[in-house]
Amino acid sequence: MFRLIAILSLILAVAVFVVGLRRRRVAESAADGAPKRRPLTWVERGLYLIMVVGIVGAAVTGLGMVITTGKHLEGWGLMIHCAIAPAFAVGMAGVALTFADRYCFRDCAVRRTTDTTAATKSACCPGIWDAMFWGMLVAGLIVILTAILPMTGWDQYWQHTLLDIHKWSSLALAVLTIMHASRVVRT
Amino acid sequence: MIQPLHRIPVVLALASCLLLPALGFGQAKENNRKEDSRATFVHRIGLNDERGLAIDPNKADAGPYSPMQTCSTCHPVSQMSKGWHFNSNDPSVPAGRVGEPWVYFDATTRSVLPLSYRNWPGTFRPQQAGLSEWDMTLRFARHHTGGGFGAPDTPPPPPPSTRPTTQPTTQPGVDPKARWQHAGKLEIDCMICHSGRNEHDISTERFVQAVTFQNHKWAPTVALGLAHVTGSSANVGKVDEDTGEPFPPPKMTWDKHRFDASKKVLLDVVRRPPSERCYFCHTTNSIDPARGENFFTAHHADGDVHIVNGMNCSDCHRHGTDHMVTRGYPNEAKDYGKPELGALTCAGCHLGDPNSPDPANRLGGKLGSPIPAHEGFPPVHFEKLACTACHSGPWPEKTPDELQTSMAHALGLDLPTRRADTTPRIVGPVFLKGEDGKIAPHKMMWPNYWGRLQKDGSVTLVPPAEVTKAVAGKNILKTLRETQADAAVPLTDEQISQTLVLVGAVPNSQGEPVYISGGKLYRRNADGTVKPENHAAAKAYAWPMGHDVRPAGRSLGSRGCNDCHASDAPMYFASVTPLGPFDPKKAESTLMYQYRDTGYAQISAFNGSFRLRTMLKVIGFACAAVIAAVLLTAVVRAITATTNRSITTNRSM
Repeated sequence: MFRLIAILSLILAVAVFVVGLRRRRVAESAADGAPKRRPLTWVERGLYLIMVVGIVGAAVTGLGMVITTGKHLEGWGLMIHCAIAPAFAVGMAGVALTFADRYCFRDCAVRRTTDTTAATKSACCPGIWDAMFWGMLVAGLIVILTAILPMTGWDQYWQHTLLDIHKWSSLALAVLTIMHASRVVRT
Repeated sequence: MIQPLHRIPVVLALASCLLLPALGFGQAKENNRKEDSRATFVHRIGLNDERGLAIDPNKADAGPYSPMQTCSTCHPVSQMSKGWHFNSNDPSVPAGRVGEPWVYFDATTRSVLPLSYRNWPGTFRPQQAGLSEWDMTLRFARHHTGGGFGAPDTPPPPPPSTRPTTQPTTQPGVDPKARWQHAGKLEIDCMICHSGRNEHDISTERFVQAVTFQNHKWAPTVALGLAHVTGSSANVGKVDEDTGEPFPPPKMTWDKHRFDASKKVLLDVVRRPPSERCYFCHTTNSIDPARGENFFTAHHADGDVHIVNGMNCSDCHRHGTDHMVTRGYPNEAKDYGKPELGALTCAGCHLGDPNSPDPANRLGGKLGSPIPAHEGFPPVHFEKLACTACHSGPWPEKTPDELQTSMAHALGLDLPTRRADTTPRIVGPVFLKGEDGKIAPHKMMWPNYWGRLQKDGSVTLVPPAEVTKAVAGKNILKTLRETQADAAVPLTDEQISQTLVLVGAVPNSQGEPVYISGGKLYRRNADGTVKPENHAAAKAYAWPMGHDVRPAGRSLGSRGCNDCHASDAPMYFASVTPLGPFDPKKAESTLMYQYRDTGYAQISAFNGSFRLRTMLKVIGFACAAVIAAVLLTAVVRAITATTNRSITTNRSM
């Protein structure tokens, strides 16, 4: 069941990513001359890149293993997964600190009501992207906690529960990150 | 005088009345009487001899008592005698998981062979080693319940699909050496297990009668102390050189005090055999050769946690009337098509068996067993490891312990010749993947034998007797008994080379003669030297180790991950060196992980990564805290903004 949902979700996410990229190009060409959003700094880009690399690496080793074999991680795959995990965690924490102000429902709502130009509308993040960003952070937090907590003496019921939560939250994180990356990649 | 024809039927009828009981018609009828109570049934019973006739100790021709004929008065012994302890030579019985073999040691040829009638890969069938049921009985009756090879009725031919595939399928042949006609059969001796007060003397009287004197059919009687026997059936048919008279057959003198006025005997029969009875055949001791003569260290051993806490072996290793004792391994239910057996495994008892037909057995905590929490263990451990990996056998160290077992080393018998280096040399725990793919501790021994390398690469065993015959009179191999100290002295290259020539010269032999020793196959070069090489036929034989079970506090992992994931953890890096009657310098040590097809780089990287585990946790928690703080701030800001907007809206209105 998980494998089917994971495959469909990831296909959907990649489709959204591709469509998102195309729509951004069209919107940008239409908004030539209009005020644009503040571009990302190198620090922000670096942190986002670290996070994405971490998530992709962990998804390939983790979700990839589950999807292809149906088994839990072991051996080299597990080691790579755990080696990448700190990069993902640090990147995600950095992204949380530096990007939070960009994805603020209130600001967008205010700007959309005060400035009705097409350029502003397209440049300002619509609510879906805000939700995606915060969803990504929530999923990331759950992923990190469900990875770390099993190392702290929980019994087998919770080991299995945490592992299941880790699996599903990882899928959610991967899907949200792929979709959200289409927004960030050309900012 | 010619008998009138009309009298013949009368004479025949009269003869029938007299002779038929003697021909077996007097055998006691087999019954299946039950008292259906948990109380102990008091066995004040009459005894029957092998003809089924009631024993009167006052009669000169009485006895010896036959357990089968006696017990069949109330029990279905024909069904019971197909139980696990007695059915090894019935090829129609599924072999199940590999188990402890009978280890045959021929000192002269240094042949050490794991034998089994069961189809366990890595073992040899006794017939392959040139051993008949008679030979097996004389050698191993000391730790055998009787029945099976001790009472060989040719088993019915099995269906083709159940014939052994890894061993030859030869049926028992006729052994000209066999003296069953004098010794009698070694019947199943029920009291070996079911004797409640140790009144049955398996360790001395039964051993002496069954093995030393070849008085097989007298053994159960003497072991129970019901009678005293003089004479040995081994001598029947021979002449006493001192007197010039033929030896008399064994003579029995009953202890009449054991019989009451109605010629009944009180036997302390128990339904659940005391563990000490099981231990006679199923003891495993760690030994310490460095302690010299005091190599025996079991006095300091804690024993199995279940037994120490008052359980019996038979609490888990149960059986019904069929006496198919539950072995308790995870796949047993599948192997024998009995789903109820799943509840009698470690996990079935402690955690419950979800597939059990009995709803109660789907719950854990059977018999009050603690339901383990296994706190902090990632679930992958339970996919990769058997319960025994962490809980059974001696605590793993840099090298496995040397072990001695009842069946292999005749523990329980007063044998002053038993030493620390007595062959066979068995080591454990060795962590190997079992038949279910899970890592489990095993006992391991290395076969030593002469063979012939065939064109298809397989090695066929040359029976030790054939080797002995080939070298007879050549002064190459010294004739030795297994109890002699020299029996452990390895053969020199020259001895091996010369013997290989002679084994190769045996008429009608096919294949290149080879010597399997210490995990290597030795071939003779053209210049007369011998060269060792690796070969599948030289592989060690290993069987899983279930006991002694250690409590949770003394199990692997009780001190943390480093019990197994340190850079020098014995589970991966203990060094296993072949032991046996061969030069230890020629033996090649193997690190434990190498038996499990795992690469060094992966293991060392994985175990090395545990040093970074704390750092991983710190980074994880720190990052989680940052993300949580950002989320919390956002939530607070959202609530504040929503509240302010409401206030502004209200004011503007």
